[in-house]
Amino acid sequence: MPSTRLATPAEEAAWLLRRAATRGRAFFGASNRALFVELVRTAFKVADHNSIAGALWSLLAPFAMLTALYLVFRDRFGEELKAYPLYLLLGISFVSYFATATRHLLAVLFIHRALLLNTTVPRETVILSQVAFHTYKLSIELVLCALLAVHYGTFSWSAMVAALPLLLAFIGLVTGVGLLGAVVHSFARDIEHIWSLVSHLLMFVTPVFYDLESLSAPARFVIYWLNPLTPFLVALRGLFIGPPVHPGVYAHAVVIGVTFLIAGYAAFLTAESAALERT
Amino acid sequence: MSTTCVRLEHVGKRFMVPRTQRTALRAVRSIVRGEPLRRELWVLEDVSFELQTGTRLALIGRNGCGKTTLLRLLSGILAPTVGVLEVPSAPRPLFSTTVGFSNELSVADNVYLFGAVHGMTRRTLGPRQDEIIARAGIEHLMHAPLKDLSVGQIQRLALSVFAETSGRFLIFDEVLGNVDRGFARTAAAFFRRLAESGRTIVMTSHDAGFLRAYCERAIWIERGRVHRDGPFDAVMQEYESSFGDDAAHDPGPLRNGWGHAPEEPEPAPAAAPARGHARAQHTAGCKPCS
Repeated sequence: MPSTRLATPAEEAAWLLRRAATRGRAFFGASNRALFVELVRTAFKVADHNSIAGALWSLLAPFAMLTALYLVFRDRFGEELKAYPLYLLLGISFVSYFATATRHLLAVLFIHRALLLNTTVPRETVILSQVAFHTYKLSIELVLCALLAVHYGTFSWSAMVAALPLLLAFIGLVTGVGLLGAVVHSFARDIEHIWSLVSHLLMFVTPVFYDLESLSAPARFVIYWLNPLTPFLVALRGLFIGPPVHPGVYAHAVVIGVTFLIAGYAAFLTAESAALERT
Repeated sequence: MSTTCVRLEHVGKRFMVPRTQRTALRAVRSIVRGEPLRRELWVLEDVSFELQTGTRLALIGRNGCGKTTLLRLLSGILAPTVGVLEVPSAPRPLFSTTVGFSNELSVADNVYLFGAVHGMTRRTLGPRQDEIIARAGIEHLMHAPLKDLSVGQIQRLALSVFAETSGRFLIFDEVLGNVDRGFARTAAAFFRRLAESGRTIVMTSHDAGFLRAYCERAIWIERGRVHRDGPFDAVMQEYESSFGDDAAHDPGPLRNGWGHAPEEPEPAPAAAPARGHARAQHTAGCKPCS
């Protein structure tokens, strides 16, 4: 066996950056774009049985949840919070998207192991096609939120433009958390069950149906600073419903999204081979 | 003038195999007790050879000897643990004829999906879709979901789509396992065309006749190492005679209860060097090595 030496941290970091840059170039190549489109198309056709009715069924869950929460909490919070149905729908859509997409990404290496070990398909393409599929559903729900904002007279185009970077950062958060989860899942399979429990709790530890102001100071601190979803939701509600939030909240959300994306991708690049070889 | 298409120098591949079933609790318990979570398994060791452009190489060896791992290294799907691996032109591998399809989609849609997985676009495949499906002999099933097809029919479809690839360096891993005699003739014509086209081909198969028809050189892999490398007929003859030697000690084909000879045991883990940097150089798009 030839002699080997340990890499220094600087060499490891440089190697990670080079790897990410090469992967990025490959990802935007023409044949890979075609593959990405085919994978997303397949996800739609399989999930929605290639029918409009199938797509409508998948939107039923958030609306059932909206109805239930509205009927239960409208007397308690509906009076104090402006445009409460819109307030609820934004919360449900964001939390559902986060929970569903991360749960799928967690098992992505396991589910697509055969594809990733038997073809030269870039791994990022498979992962991002899954993200794109779930993001499409979120987009439809956000369009409905925008229509509700028109109904309540809180809609503005400038707010919608300002919401775009926030949404991209949120997709970054979901992808980053999903990638971290996928790596951990390869080494400890039961993380799937733990994550499933966490995602169910998210509906309650995120201000979906209540307002942060209605909580005690310690609870407010925990839910705002320890739950990465809260700043996104607070900032987005400021844009859709008003009043506009402090720019610090907006910046906080974007920083969370970017940080998780970078951390998740770095972890993925470092551990992907080991994770896949024996997933 | 032929150029070097593949160069391997002392390449080794180590897998880290989990010691127990992976759960978070067991992992924490092992860490607390100071027990290692994984053990090393060297699948390939000290593999060195060069391949010139246009060469048709057969990799032969028993089950579990490391052929598929070596092909995955050449394809850029896995990265070597140690050694130097240089593959200047990105290969197009076909490892499995069932991976890259979706059971729920129709045969027609699967042509595009399988094609995209192997680097082909709708623009390339669109005008040839009917011909591809006809060549697989399943034109009457064009709009049927893939799950309605037999394994052999799926394999024919896969080979028929893959035949459209324009790659100059192709890798095949046991791709003619389930096809019937009729399609085997169609596949033979495809492989003959490939052999005459000057493309670089690396293939594995347990069918010596198939390999003999298309390969001029063979490498015999034994327990993760290159045992013999040379002209196809010489290496194959030696390989086949090795079974004759084994037969004297073989307790019989039914020992494992399935009517097959028992599988080769996994190679024992060897002493491993510290974690280091293997130098693997693939073209852009290569997954682990880039």
